[in-house]
Amino acid sequence: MSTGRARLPELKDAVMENDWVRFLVSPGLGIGWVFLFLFLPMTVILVISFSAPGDFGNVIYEFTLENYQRFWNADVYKNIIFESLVYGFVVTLLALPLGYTAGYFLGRSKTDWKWILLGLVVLQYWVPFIIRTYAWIIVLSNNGVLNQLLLNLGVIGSPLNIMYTNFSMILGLTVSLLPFMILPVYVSVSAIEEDQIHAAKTLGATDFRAFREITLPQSLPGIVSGVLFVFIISAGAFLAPTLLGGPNTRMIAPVIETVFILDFNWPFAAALSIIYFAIIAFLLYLFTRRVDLEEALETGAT
Amino acid sequence: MAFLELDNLRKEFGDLVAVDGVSLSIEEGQFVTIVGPSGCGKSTILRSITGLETPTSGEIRLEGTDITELPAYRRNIGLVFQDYALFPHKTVFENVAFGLKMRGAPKAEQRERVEEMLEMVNLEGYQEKYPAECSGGEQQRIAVARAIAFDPDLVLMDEPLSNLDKNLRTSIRSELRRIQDETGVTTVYVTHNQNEALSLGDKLAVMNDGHLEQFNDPETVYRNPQTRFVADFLGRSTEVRGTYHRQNGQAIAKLDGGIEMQVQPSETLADGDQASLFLRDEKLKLVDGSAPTENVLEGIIESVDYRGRDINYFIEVPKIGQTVQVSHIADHSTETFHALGDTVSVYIEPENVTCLPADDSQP
Repeated sequence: MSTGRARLPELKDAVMENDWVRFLVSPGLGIGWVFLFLFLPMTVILVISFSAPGDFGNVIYEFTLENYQRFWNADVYKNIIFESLVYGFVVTLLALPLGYTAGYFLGRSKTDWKWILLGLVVLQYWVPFIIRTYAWIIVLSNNGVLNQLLLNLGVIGSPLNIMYTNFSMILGLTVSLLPFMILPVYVSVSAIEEDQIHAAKTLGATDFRAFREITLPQSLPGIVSGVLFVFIISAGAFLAPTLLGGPNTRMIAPVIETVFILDFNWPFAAALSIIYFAIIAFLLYLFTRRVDLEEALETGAT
Repeated sequence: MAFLELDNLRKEFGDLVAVDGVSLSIEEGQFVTIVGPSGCGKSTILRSITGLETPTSGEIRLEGTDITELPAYRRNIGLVFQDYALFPHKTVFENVAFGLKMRGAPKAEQRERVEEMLEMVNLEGYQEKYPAECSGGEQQRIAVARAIAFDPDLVLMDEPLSNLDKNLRTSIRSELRRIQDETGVTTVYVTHNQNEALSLGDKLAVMNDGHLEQFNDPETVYRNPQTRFVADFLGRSTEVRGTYHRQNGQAIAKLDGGIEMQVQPSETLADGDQASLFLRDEKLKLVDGSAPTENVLEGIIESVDYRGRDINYFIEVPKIGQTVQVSHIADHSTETFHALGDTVSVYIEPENVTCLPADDSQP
């Protein structure tokens, strides 16, 4: 045991000195990994999007703008992307105040229960998303828990039709994405020294002004990352619109899936993916320019 | 009527009594230091005065008005935090102007006042910098400027120098005193450092274990400590046990080792009481045989610590069973230094021997 402990640093040195290990973790190779797992698939999709569909689902590698022209000429796909972004916006708008409040109180709280509460926030991720989504069906369907409760209490006379609507999808998305808002806000709020708030109060700030002048600006990085997470994930949601949404719910991810799997039109599905990706990238660019992301992150770090 | 009055202030945190019935009166324009070891309740007192803590019982009065329950933001009291608590996302200007902004002062007035404040703390032109771009000493002075800029009734400082290195501490210490003289703002300064406590304040409050031990001007506290704690905490001294007596109008103590010493008269001790004698180390003098015969202790040099400018002798005194430390400025032209094992005589003047009631819990 004692010899083993003495040899541990040597072993560590030996591993760190090993040329192969150094090569595998070198920055140049890191960029290689990113390229391999991120840019290569994107490049493949990009190439396919400029190819023509064959008769039996195969891809004919001849350069064509046909897929993009099809998108441009039909309003339906534009509307679907627009609706997806609207759903993402609504979910983000709901998750922001709810998640900020929870993250703020977790960050400021000195209770011994904090770690348990934080555990509860992420607890739902122990359950696969698809099972959580089915749980919503049990709660919200016409003879589900919620309707039965309201019926038995006599609040309503007949079951409310809340399952398979936009409402149930937005509710499911908001609740399941809340941790993505809570956690970054929690991190940025808990990094603020309590004495700064005390200082603001001795200088004449009410609780509200101390919050607005000290806490809110310094938790901006948390808000920014929370908004980015929630918006991107909800606008691109796949399972929630499929399982919780209604006949009128149209979102881009299930549509792309349909084009891929049912229509077997890989080039058009690839073109839709590229267009959606470009729109999201452009929106993020506008958003981060507007909030000056770098400055927000910088002041949060000091 | 005193400017700031603490009346029987008490603060409990669960079972812990942080402040146990402290009463203190501070006059307008005074610089008062509160000194004590960590955990003695001095910071809790400060936070109660600002309104960041609510005392369990007792009253705080500012110019006769009870402010005990008033929220911090309505008190008009500046506080300099130990770790400065500057706002990292705001510039130096915004930091210093914060109190004025909260009071709705117009921009022009803010600019003028901030400039004046930064000039006072020797940080002209720092307006647009961020705290992270300033050194520790500069941040400290920004914190002082911020706490004074809105013209508070009272400024409190919570160990403001403890995060600075030693050289900086001394220079900023005198700067703080100068700033207080210039502005005349009533200041309460909390520290655990006895040098700061003695040199800074007009008045010195010594605290221990939630109690106020003594409150007076620093010289009086140092020369006439009222409790064993104060005698032990401020300066270096040797504690000896004996009995206190009054003979022919003179105060003397009979030490357990069988010698008699003349001591400073005590107000609290009666004839025959058990007493603790505190001999101030720096008042001990080496004398040769021809010098006074009273208050002389015979000892043997145990070790010598030559430091160039001065020389320290550690002298074992068998009669009191302790080693005392005598230091004096080394006079290289005339003096022959004592060597290890030499027998020497140590003298101390009666007024430098403080007699206090012995603590029975001590051996």
